[in-house]
Amino acid sequence: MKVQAFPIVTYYTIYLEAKGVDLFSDFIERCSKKHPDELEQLKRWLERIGSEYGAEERYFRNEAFLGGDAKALPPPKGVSPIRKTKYIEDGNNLRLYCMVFNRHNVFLFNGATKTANKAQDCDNVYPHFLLANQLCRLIHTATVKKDIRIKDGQLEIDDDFYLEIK
Amino acid sequence: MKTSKASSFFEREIKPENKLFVDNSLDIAVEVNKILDEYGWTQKDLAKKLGKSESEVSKWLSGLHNLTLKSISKIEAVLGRKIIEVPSRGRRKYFSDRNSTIRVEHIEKKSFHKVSFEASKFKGRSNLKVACQ
Repeated sequence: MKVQAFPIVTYYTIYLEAKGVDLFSDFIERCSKKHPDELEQLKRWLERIGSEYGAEERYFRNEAFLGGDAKALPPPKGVSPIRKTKYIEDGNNLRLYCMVFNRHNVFLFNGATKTANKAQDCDNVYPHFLLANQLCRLIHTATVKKDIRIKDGQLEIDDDFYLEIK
Repeated sequence: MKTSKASSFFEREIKPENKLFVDNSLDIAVEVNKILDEYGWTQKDLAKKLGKSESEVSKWLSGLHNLTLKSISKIEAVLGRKIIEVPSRGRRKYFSDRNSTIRVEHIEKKSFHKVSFEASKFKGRSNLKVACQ
């Protein structure tokens, strides 16, 4: 679902039918009380990236790959472009996972405060990290199958299209 | 699909200090990246010269990091260029020069930028050049 369109970047998120909530709303809901300032800073950051700079790779931090797990990122070889899970993190370790589809389209997922050195060692972020990776792969596959298309710079997705998370 | 907190998120007012914090941090990140592009350096190169990890420099230049003055100074030293300037220092620099060249960095489409000077400040200085690109 589309969250907000800015002159350069359009932000999307994923609606979880089973939970009746979209990922980004869930993130906002959980962080509003504990991290109100960080959330405001994130909002401003998303606005400026969306309005002035575009979703340049350099402003999003690369997520570490899961070591030794063949099912994790990166996507299968020979399929391009490679889409990796990214995250936005403020100075207080509030981490929001996302997928930079291209310079003009970004999927915002979920996140939390990272309390360990590695995401996979942190109970807070690990579930979101896993889900973000899954979603990246699914979105990538859907793009290859043309279930997700680009039209006039924005993403075109049929209303009845679903990503199945196994 | 019903609207949600996500939809109204961008309509919220935010505290001025949070807006300014991100604006300053992002402006610095953009400026540093611009200089890196000019030099043909990567963030990895900058990290090496700073004696920091690539991950740490990436964090510094995310636009959401609370950079210390010390860190900014270290970056400026390595780049050999100022990244930040306080307004009064900038004004003194321009008005003290006998021959001043003012470069207009950003010219937006469909708008003019009028550059006007108080004549008294430039009394006796006949070699004022204004360069626009």
